[in-house]
Amino acid sequence: MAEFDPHRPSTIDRVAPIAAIAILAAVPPVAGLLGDPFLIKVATRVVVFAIAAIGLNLVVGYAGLVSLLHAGLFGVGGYVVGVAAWHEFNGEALGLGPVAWAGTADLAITLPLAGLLAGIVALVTGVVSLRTSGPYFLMITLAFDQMLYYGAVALQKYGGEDGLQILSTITFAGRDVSARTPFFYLALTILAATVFLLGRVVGSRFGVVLRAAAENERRVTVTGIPPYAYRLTAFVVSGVVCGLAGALLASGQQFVSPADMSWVRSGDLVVMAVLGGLSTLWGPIVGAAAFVVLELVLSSWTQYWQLAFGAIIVVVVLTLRGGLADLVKLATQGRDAR
Amino acid sequence: MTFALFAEQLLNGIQFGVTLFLMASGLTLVFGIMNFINLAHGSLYMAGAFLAAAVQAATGSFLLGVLVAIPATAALGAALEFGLFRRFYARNHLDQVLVTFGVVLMANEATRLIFGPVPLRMPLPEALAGSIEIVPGLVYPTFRLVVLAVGLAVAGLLWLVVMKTRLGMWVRAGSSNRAIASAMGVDVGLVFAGLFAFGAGLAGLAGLMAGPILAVQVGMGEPILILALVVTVIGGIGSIRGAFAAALLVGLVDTFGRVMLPPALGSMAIFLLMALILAFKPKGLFPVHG
Amino acid sequence: MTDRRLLEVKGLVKSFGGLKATNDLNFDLIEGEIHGVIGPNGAGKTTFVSQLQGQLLPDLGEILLDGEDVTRLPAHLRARRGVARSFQITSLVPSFTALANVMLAVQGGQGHSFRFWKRAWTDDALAGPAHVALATVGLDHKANAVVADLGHGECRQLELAMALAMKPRLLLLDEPMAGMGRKDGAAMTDLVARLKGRTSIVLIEHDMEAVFRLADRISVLVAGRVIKTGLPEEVRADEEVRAAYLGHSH
Repeated sequence: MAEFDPHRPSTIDRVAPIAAIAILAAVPPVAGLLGDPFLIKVATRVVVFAIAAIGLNLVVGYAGLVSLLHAGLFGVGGYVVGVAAWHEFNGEALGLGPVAWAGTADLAITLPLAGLLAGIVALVTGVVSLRTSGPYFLMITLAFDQMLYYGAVALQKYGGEDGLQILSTITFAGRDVSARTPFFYLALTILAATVFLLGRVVGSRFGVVLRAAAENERRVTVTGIPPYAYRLTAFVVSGVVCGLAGALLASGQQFVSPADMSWVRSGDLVVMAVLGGLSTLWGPIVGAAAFVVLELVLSSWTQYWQLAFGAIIVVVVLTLRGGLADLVKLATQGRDAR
Repeated sequence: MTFALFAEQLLNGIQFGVTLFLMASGLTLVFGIMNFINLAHGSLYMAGAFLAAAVQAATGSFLLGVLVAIPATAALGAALEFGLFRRFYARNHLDQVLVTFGVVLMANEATRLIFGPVPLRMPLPEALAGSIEIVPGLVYPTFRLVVLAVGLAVAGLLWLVVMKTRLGMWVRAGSSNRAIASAMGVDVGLVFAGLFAFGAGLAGLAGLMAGPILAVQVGMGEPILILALVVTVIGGIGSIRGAFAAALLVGLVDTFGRVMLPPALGSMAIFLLMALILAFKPKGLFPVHG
Repeated sequence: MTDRRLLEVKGLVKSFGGLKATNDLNFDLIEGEIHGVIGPNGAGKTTFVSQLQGQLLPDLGEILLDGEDVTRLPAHLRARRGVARSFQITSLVPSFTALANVMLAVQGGQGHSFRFWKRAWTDDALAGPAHVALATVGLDHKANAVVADLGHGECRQLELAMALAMKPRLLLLDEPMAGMGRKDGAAMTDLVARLKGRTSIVLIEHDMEAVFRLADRISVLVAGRVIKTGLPEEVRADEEVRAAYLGHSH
């Protein structure tokens, strides 16, 4: 891993996330000029996966815990939106014990709910997973992901293995946000808020503990700080963020399915978080963009695009230790360093 | 539940358990000794099934398919180890996950490219296709009994090798203390490659034995990989004994869970079991590393 | 110096398999003193320190800190009560700078770290004491150097700075001079000497010259048991100690 000082972020680490969000914000007008509204769809996908990858990076990059659960948490968020909209559309109340809920397609309600539920799932699975470490942690989170996947497949009422169409019009606080551009800016606002808030978190005392414990757990413990509670908190926060991203993906493509929760999607998220550059806030944005663009370009060339994608992952892991962020850093520091 | 049904499910559970053991023993050895997490182990399982099915389709001989597929999968494993994975033994687990994940994606697509999206069939030879009445009222497919016997035989053989031979002593030393292992003056590179190939061969065997029972299709390796990882974790990483006990436990719980519980809970039973065990024993039932 | 006992250890036992690494060990530390612990390799010195610090829990016996039973207390709670340790094998956060490492220790000494908003790097409540601790060990000029770029001697100094930053009442020094050259070793000896009276110290060290110069009292540990405790000159003169240890190894 590249060396870094948690107490003094480099200029590029401060400027790059702002630049990335500014570039994304310019996509709809540019798409308008080019007469290519498909670009907005692509940019929305980038934004949604960037949110998820940033959330995951708190655990993988900062806390040093490789989780393969996060596609499951992502899917939990998606299903909250899907199920709430299904009940609204079909006019059938959702019975929650004594309470009956009519359901809704309003994201002002379903987004917080998605974050909450994903956070609760992260808390319950995290309590068990974080008692272990290293490879055990990795395999347990993978198994929990598979469990959530089977859980979604078992939701026969909501489409089971085939997934769930969202037929209602998606709104936010009563306003229709189902059109491409407003939905994109909604997602981008959430990305910006995530970057800003997590930016504070990783620079705080809490963030310092996470990073230090990733490198030397014993030292942190002897310093009087038991890492478990801090890791669990980070795990829950990243679960909430992934839940929000999943809710946005489901709303954007008006569809949610167990396939979004498979362990391969978890692997994709780790790839985005890592290939963009660990322990930076902008790395996952770059990683998500690279992933979506590669997916698009490769799949337009060949239906066997994952062959090339797999090969790219292998080559990047073999050659670039710090991910794509290393490339950028090398390019920007080329003159003064070495 | 009648006795016959119970006995049949019991046999199914044990048969599934020994298949899982064939997968998990390779995983747990490779992890215990090389400290390497191999998500591509399921791809080797898939390779075994496809190779056997392809050879059988070309020659008409099931036996020939088996005889070719096992060494071919082992060779594939050795090639992966030699060409790629050995560079990652000293890297962190994240890099290992990424590189083997990349290999999984490539293996799935390459298989789809070569064999097409339609599942292959592996018809059984006449001698294995029928059923046997084990005791009056309990009729059981012959091939499943063969799978069960082969699995138990391999487990027994592995136990003999690990417990009674010099190589086994080295393997045991290696999985509990790596420094001792390399100090024992063995050609580590060669043994690692051999061990990896051996694990790959077992995965291939598991895959080709699943072929006639399940479908030979792309992605078939992943559900079993995940269950094998669960077995490895429950048993304690690096422990062959733990892998065997956990494989039987998982095989039985999974089989009976699917029969006796509602579908949603049935497929999740095994993961709940794992969570429960790890909540009390975070290093598995038979922990190896101090 | 008062005669108040800051630390009392009674009948401590710790076994690994069949081996008793600590075998009915009794020990005490008077507030303000430097108490040297010497003994041959394998006598169980590091195991002893680990039990004082809480990384290992003893099988039998008790450890009293200021009269309070802390035998079963986990390491991080002992740290909160003012127990700090420097490791025999350097244990730092490798990608952090020297200053960041000490700031982490300061942070640990200031209660919980569930603070998500304020930037740690502009927090004078962390940086101030960290600079003081670095200056005390003479490492202030390397504050912004990453640990990976520090020399061995500097890492040992940094270990000590981290322990001091926690404002310890009880400082456990596990071979602070280990692996140092003559010059660095002498500098470290001077440094520990300057700490005398500011905190109470359990000093484990192989360098006999340094221990006899620094310690107020010395305990000799053989096969997991204290065979002699006394003033340096008493220990030097003791026949049993000579037979068991001093005469043979040096």
